[in-house]
Amino acid sequence: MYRSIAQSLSPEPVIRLRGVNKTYAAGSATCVALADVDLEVFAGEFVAITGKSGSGKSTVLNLLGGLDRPTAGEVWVDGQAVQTLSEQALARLRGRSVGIVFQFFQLMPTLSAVENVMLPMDLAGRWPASERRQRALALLDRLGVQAQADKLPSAMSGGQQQRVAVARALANAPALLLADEPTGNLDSYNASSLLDLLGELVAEGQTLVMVTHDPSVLRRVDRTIALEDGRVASRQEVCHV
Amino acid sequence: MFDTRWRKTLRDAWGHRARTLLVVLAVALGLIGAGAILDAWALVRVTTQASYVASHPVAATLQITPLDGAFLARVRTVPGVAAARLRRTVVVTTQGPGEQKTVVLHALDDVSRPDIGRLQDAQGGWPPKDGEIMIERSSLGYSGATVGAALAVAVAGKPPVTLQVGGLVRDVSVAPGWMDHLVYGFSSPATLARLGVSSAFDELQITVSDPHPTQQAVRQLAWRIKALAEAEGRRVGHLDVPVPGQHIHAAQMSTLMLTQGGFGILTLLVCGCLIVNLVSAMLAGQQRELGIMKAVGASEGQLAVQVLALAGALGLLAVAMALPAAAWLGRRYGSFQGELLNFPVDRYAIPVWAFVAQAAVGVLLPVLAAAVPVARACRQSVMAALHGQDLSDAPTTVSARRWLQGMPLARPQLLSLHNVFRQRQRCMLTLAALATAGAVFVGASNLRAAVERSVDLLFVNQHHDLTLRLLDPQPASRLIETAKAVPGITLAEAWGTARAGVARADGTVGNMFSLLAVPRSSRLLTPAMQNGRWLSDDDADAVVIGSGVLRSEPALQVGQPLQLTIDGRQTTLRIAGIIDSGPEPVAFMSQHGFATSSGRDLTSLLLVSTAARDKDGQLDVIRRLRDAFDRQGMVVSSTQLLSEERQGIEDHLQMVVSFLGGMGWVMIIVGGMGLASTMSVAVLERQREIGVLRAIGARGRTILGMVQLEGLVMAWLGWLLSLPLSVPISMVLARGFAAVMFPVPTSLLPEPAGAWYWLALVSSVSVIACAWPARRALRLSVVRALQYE
Repeated sequence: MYRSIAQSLSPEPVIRLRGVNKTYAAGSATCVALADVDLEVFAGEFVAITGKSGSGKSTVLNLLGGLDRPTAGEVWVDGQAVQTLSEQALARLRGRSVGIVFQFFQLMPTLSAVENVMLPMDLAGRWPASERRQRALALLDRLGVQAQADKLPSAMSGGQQQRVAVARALANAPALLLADEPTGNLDSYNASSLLDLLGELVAEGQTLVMVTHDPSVLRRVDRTIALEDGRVASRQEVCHV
Repeated sequence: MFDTRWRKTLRDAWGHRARTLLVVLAVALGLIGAGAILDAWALVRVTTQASYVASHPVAATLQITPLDGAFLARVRTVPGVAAARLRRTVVVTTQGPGEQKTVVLHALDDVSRPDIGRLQDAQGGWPPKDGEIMIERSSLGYSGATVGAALAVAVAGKPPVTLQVGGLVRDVSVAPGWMDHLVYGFSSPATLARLGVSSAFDELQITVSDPHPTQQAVRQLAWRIKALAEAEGRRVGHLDVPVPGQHIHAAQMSTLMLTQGGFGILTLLVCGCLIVNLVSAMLAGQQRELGIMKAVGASEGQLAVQVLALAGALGLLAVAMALPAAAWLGRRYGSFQGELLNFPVDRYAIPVWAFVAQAAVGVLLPVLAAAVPVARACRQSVMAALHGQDLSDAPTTVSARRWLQGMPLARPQLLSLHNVFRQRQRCMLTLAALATAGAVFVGASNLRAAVERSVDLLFVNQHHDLTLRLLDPQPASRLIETAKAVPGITLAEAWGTARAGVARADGTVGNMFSLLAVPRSSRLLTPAMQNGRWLSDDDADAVVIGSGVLRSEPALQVGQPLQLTIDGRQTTLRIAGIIDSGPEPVAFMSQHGFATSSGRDLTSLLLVSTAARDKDGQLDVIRRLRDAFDRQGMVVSSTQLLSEERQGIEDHLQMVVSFLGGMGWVMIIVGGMGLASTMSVAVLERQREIGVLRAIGARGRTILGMVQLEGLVMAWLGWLLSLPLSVPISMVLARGFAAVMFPVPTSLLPEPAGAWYWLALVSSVSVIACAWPARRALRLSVVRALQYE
């Protein structure tokens, strides 16, 4: 449903993968992580990428996040061809167009929650310096962790840290939010709470691609793409009632 | 105030205070060593300009008799002459109890002339009144005199006269009196008359109008004045033209400073190794964070600027610490060098450019040292950084592992050996720092031993204890008979002496040196031949050149004909050999050849060997000798103990040797810091391993032993590497030393005593350097160690 709405609003997809291959050298052998993957994600979609360990789902996420480049094929993110971008341009893509949420939060241990959220803004320089703290506090408030704003990550629970990580990912209002097993390190209450929050973000128009094993996530997404041995095994649209 | 990037950077630096402090200390220490040398050099340079050059040093001195005002006026009109003055120099000796000191007493026609050989810092009544002596400042201590007190002096053969020490004055053109074992003094011509010598001037001194003349140009000008004097029927004796614009010790000092500068750079390089290690360790610890920063949009440039700015800021901190310390040390060292040059350094400021240069080096050194590891870390892909692929950890090769496993050692010790090579880059840099420090230490030790051997060799060939000079030459037999009648004398030889110089094609003569006539079958000199052969008794035209002459006449070779001017007479000789004579310019002929070439068969120099081995006993012999010669009506002009001559040379060496020792210690401290930082980082990185070892039952002392063994293996490897590295460093040092003092033999084998001492030292340094990391490893709780990531 969302997909059709999204497609009708934005004919150009936020993500487009065409014939993407990714191989790694493993000693004298070559390991195929992705083989001939085609994929499109439109603005406002909530897409889950699933698959067993080693199926290639994290590789897709890395390509979408500009963390890695394809061996062959095209990866388009927010209108930019990842495979052609310089390191500098990739950094700009990661800073402005993409926000990433990691399984293990990956907050800077020496920065407080609000400073962690301000960090991408300081790097990208997209917002005036005088507005950054207010914006970071607003994001923390939106994610329900404003009370933790001045605490270091070591003083926060896992759930709080992951919310701060989501706030950080949203700092520069990216076109695309990527989440790599965001609930993998959370208890069920915090996981459910986080998924509710992510759902709200999508409802507000945020495009979200999530790599997950969690079956409870699949009920909440618009679409599921299952990978198997580096290939798209199935595409399934979810109908929300 | 700062954005989050800089807050993170500062907090990381504060979070790893020990490592941050080590970086600051490494830079500061390197800067203190190199900065002190630069400050001293800059200070001496400024002082040279302000003190020596501003004194309008004499360009040439001609001994002319007679001299008068009319001739002086004519000389002043000679084109190229800027200023001229007249002088008389008389050698007197102090009288009274204790050692007699030789006083070189000058009288000037106009003591207030500012445009030639200006005397400075006069204290007391200047110019000297009749009956007064003004003592050159650097000689006061050696003279034993006191300003305002009486000083009895006597010209050889004349009764003693008591002069009043009227004050002090500085003559920057002479080497310090304490170093030359001479007292320099100034008196009026009337005072010279009181001493019983002529007050007529016999030396003409000039300066030249060309601000940057060559020595040859000045020599040619002096030669024109000589011709002018001889045309008027005046007799011209010696003619002395020093290197223009250069203090008598300037060339040596420059070479010494250059060598020291080299050490300064080496110290900075060793510090650089330490910084590379520390920054690499810091980056390895922050690898995942760098990956996250990149994932959230940081570019390589942003990350690099962040780390390099921190390195620069730490450098600034080090500069703030090092500059005052370097300035203090540099000023002390500069003052010491000033004393050697006889310049008053204290009143001059270290120039600003020296501080700017040190600040620039202090900031740039950590930035440059960090640049390579930073570039590598920042270029690492986000994926590699996030997955923690180690930047430098290279597994031990299979062959090395097999080799290690074949060693009859317990498993923990094998693990220690394995750990040494685990971080290859860090291991290499630590070894480089230790090996360089050791090479400098062993090199300095090699040079010290070579210098001591050379001085020993120089004097072991001279078998006399004292020399005695007569005012008027006498038949050799008369000198020897008189000396042999004195109790306590075991051997006496009379040697002929003359002043000689190499005659040049343009008619001028090079710098003068002493030509000695060696008696038949001399037992008081065993020549140390460098090249060619020694003299035979029948040699008529053979001359043996001392190595000191080669400094001013480097083209001379064995077998060459040599045109010499001996006391004004030209003669052609052949160079039979070259001997090691130390820094003194001297040449030797047989008595037979000397008599033929110089036309002299009288001698004025007596070399004496005594039964007394102590200085007091030898001074007693001198007194008895003087009395004996006085009774015979022969006037003794001067006497000198060989031990004093040796002391004079050793005083010259003291500065070089003490400097080398100091630099060696700076290098050891830096090397030790390198080892300490490497081991503390190694312990930090292996906290998990240490936790596992303790969890499976390793006791505290096992862990302690592992850390200490790892440090010791590193230290011993550094020691091994330092031995071959010390050879080229010894050679460089020896070359620098040869330019400053005299050539010393270099050995391809390190001095065993120095090498063993360095082994003991580096082992101790290792134990001390590893003490803190080992203690840290012991204090870790097993649970915390296992949690470390």
